[in-house]
Amino acid sequence: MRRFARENGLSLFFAAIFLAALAGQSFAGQRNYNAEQLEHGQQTLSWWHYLVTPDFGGAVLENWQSEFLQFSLFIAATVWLVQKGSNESKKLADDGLESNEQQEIGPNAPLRAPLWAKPDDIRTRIYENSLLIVMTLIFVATWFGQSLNNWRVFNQEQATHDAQRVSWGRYLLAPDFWEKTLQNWQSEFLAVGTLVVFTIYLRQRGSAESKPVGAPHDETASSG
Amino acid sequence: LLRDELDHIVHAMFVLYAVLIVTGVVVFVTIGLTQQ
Repeated sequence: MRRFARENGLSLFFAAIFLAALAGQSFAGQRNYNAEQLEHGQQTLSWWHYLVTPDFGGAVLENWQSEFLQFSLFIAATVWLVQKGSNESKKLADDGLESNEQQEIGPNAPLRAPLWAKPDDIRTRIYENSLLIVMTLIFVATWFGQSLNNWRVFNQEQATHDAQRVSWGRYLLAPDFWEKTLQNWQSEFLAVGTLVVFTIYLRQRGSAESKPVGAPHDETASSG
Repeated sequence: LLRDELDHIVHAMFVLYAVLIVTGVVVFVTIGLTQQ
C-alpha cells in the first residue's frame, strides 16, 4: 500500500485535491444559489438538489473546458514552436514531428514499446496523436456541456425578468456565453505563457517543471 | 510478475482519471440536455 501511494503520489494528490475543491465549490455554490433564490422570493434547494442544477454544471464545466483546451493547445504548439531557454520547450533543433528513430516507431520500436507503436501504419498514426485527440475530445465535450448548462441558466434568468427565452443556437452567439468562455481562456493562456517564460530564468530545486538550479538561462529543455 | 503488477498500478490511476472525467461529462451534459 505504501509502495502504491509512493509510485502514484502525483496522480493521487491531484485527484484528492480535485475532489476536495469540487466539494467545496458545491457547498459554496449552494449557499450562493440559495441566497439569490431568497432575494427573489424563490424556493431554496438542498445540497443534493443543487448538484444537478445547470448552475453547478455550468460552473464546473466552464472551468474544465478551458483547462483541457489549454493542455490541448500546449501539446500541439510544443510540437512546432520552441522557446529558447525554457524547460517547457523541446530543444530548438527538435521542432516538428521528429524522425521515426527519435520517436521509436516501427522497426525502431523497443521490445516493450506500446503495441501500436510497432506497425508504422494507420494504427501508429492514431496512437502517435492519441494524447492530443483525447484531450481535444474532452475539451469539445466539456465546452458543449458548458454551453448547454449556461444556456439553461441564461433562460431561467430571462424568465425571472419576463424576458424572452433564446434557443441554444442563439445562445452560442450571446455575449453571456463568450464572456464565460473567454474569461477562462485568457487566464489559462497567461498561465501557460508565464510558465514557458519564467522557467528560462527561475528555478525550483527538485521540480520536474524546472531546469536544474545550475542550468544556464539559455539552455533549453534541460530537465528533459 | 513484478512487471505485470506495475502495469496494473499504472492502469488503475489511468482508469480513475478516465472515470472521473467521463462521469463528470456524462452527468453534466445530461443535466444540460434535460433540466428546464
